[in-house]
Amino acid sequence: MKPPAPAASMSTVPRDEPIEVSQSRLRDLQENVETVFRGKPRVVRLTVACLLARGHLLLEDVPGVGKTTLALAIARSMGLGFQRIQFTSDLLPSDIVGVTIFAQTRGEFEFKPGPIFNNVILADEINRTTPRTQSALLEAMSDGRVSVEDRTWDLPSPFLVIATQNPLEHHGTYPLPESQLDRFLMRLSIGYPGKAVERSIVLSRGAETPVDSLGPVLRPDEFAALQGKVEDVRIEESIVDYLMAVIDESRNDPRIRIGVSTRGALALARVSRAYALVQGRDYVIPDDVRDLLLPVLAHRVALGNTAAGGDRMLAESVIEDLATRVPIPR
Amino acid sequence: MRELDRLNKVFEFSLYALLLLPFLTIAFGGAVPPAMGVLFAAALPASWWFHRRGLAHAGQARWWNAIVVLFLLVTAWQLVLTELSALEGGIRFVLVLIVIKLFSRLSERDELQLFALSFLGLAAATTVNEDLTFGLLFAVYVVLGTFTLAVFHLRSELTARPRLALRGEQPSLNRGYIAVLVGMASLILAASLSIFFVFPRIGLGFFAPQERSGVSVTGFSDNVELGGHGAIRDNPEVVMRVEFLDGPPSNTSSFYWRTLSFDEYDGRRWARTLPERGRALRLDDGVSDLSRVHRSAGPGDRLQIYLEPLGKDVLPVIRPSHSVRIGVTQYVLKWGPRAGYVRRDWYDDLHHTIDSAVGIAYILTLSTGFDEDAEPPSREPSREFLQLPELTPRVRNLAAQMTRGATTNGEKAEAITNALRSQYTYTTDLPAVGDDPVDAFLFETRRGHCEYFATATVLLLRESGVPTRLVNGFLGGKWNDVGGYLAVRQGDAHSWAEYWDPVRGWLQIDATPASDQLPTNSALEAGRAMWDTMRLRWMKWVIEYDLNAQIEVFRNIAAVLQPRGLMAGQERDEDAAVEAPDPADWRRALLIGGLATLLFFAYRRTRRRLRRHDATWRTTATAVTFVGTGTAWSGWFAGTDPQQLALGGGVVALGVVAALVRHSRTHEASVADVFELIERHAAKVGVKREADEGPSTFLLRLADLQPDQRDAIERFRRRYLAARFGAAVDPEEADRLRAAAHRITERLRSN
Repeated sequence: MKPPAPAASMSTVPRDEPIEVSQSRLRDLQENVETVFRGKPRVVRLTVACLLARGHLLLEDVPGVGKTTLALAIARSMGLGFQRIQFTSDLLPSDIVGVTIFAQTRGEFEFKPGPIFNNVILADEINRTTPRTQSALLEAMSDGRVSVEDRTWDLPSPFLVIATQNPLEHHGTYPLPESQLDRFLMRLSIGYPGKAVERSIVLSRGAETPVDSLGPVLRPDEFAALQGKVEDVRIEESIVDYLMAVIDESRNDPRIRIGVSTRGALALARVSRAYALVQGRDYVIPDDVRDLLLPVLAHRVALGNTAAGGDRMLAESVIEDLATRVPIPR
Repeated sequence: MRELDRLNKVFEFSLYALLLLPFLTIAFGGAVPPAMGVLFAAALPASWWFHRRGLAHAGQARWWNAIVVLFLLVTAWQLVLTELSALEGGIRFVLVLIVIKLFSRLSERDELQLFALSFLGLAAATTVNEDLTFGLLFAVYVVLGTFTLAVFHLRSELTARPRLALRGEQPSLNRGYIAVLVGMASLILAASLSIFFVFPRIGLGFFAPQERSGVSVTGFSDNVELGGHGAIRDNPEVVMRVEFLDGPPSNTSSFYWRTLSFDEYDGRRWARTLPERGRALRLDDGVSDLSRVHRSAGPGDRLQIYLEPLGKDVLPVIRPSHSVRIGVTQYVLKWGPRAGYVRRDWYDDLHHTIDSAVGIAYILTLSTGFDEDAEPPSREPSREFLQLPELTPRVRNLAAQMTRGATTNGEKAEAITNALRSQYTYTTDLPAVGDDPVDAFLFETRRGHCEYFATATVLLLRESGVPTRLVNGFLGGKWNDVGGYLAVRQGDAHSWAEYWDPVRGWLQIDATPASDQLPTNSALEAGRAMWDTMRLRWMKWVIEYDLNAQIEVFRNIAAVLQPRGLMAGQERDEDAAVEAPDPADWRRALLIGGLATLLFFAYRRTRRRLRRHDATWRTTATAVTFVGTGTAWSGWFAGTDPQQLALGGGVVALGVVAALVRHSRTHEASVADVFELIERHAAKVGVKREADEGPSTFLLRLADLQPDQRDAIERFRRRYLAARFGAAVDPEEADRLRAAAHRITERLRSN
């Protein structure tokens, strides 16, 4: 009856290992990912930071820029249990969560866990499925457990969702509800790689997909330990003041209907810490916060007459504009 | 835009305060008619409400203009047909204009006009208020004016250029800004004060009408009338202040400050019948010699006297005095509005010839005593000093009875004085007297105040054939501990008599017995002493401060600063010795060295902050500390009394405490300064940090733009970020970082 739990929930790595060790582990992780996902170190850094902050990630971009590659590479490198779910319009909640079936051999009902019972879930093209199925994911993402009929099942820890969605397709898509968008710690777009990188990608790639050849660089408990390290990262008061000023500005901007919530503020502080750790520091600098404003805040604000996350480009330009208004501490 | 609302509110308050100040200054000068005062007081809150509601609009301008023109016509009419003076009319017009502008203001231009009107009001106030209140309100005006103008500027920037806010450079009225503002205002005040003291003051008195409200003083009145009420002993208004230049005296209660004398008594009041015109005393270098008049032996202690404006040209003097000199210093200007001479009238009263209603300062040199060997005065007193009204028989009998057995004038005077003193009592609470107050005093009430005693003395002596006159003036005075001077008050007014001695001339006698001192409120006394000290300083350093005083001040400074040999040579040239105690060499060296050290450290500590426009409490505290120490330091050398030293010490202690309290926040701030250093220099070479550009991003960009320094900047970046945002590092790191930053900026400059 116990759902598969491949990852060790208890860490065997000491919490107080020096920053240099964490730094080298995280560098290994990033380098490993970058062997297959080239030319986008910032995106890799942000992705790792997001997962390190125990947050779910939404990748939103046009098809074919490597969303899936990134998700796959990172999941494999972390050495965690991984499952990819292709969201389609006919996908049912039970296809994700699992079903209860009658086991004839034992003469009783038995829960057959779905693909969600894994450490890392790649939810591909999440906006192509119905809101009903999307909301099945919601409970899992926010609570770390799922309810099937009258029973509740805990999901493995860590539990991380990397979802991708395609902004261009409007036919047959269901925009994510606001409440669910807020559950994602970050929304990232990848963008096209630089010309030189793109050329080398075209040149190097043969028949085999290199992602499949990627091996893990971390033990499962090592990643959990790194997640624990995030708590120890120092965030200086003036940076908190800066962060709050930005949040406050988002609530007072006339273009923004609903500003960033307290959860958003917490998320920003949390990712800032993880982001500092990813860059090998045990303290946050103002640049970290500034760098994270777009990916962490843009999908959390609702502009004038659209729903939150409705128009990514517009939301990002508004956030960028208000960010230029808040003086950064030095 | 909440900042704008806040600025608006602050601006409104300071604008109103700024308009209230000239009004108060004029009101203290007594030049606001009651109707105008009520109108102004009512108009301020009304216009506040009016403006709040936005009731003013451009369409009303015609009506406001009509009111102004109407008022102008009324004023012109009053100027021509009534006794309204141009000055009063002008002041009233300015006040009315302020009120109208307050109601009709719409734009920033109107507010600027209000500024101008407020300044005009203050300028007008100089003509009516030369009192200490002007000095105090002026100081407040300078500070508040600076503040209000800065707020005005901030606000208009914010309104006119909203893009500023978008670029993150939103001006705001934070604590640091206010601290800098207050510092600037104090600087402006200090600068204007130093201009006041340094700028050559030849023209003073030529332009200003120099009117101060004269106090009407009993001791100076032209006639003395008995039977009136004499409850004046508790009037604390100061008439003159006396500084003792040669050390404080042992006994001030025996100082008889004589002002005016009287000869004729008509049974009720005293009058002066002798011609007022007298002879000018012999002037020798501006010094009027009194030694012959007073038969004085030799020069004694010198008294510097500041006389309040009295509406009389009388100089109070003590008998015997050696000489008198108008002015405050050793150096006397022979021309100008402050030059004048002393005149003696037929009563030996002294008058000055200076046409000044702001009070007068003079130096009185006392005499060491009477010169017994001087030849007897040649001039016999005129018969006016024997004039008598019709006396009742019992008064005549009393005179004969009292002087029985006495032969000489002196013996008679002594006998009468003793009799009056022992058999009559002093009171200011007078019973009603009939047609003949002296008769009633001598036989019925047997109580009275000094005027009764003096009058009775004169009448009884004259009846006995001794030439006598009544003298008005002041007795003693109140020693002011705060300022270290003697304040002679209206309550010290006194009357006594002078009789003629054929050998020694006029001699003063006082038959008034000692009176009980009224109980005084000590707290009130202390406050009064403080206030009066300020008034003396005002008199001394503002009203009487002229070219002579300037020369004296600079000579004193020179005496402290100049090499000893040179100064000694100059001292031989002029016997006018410098009054400041000649400090010993080591003291002088200490003073200069200490002040230089203080200045150096003060400069080092505050320079950075002030340049950053980010003064914190700590900067303020530092400045306070250094200023306080400097004050106490120089105060000690100038020989200031311990109270002021203690005050200075208290200021220093407060400053130190404030600095210590704020010490916890200093680490981050000082590290951030290092970054700011690089930022400033980078901006000079064209690499300007955007408002939303983090320090790391900026330094990386700078490193890219400065290839030859890339490694240095990169190293600095890491260490700076760790020191600024990381866990606490050792305090030395800030200094090392500063050194690194200096190396980087050096090369930035040289590139």
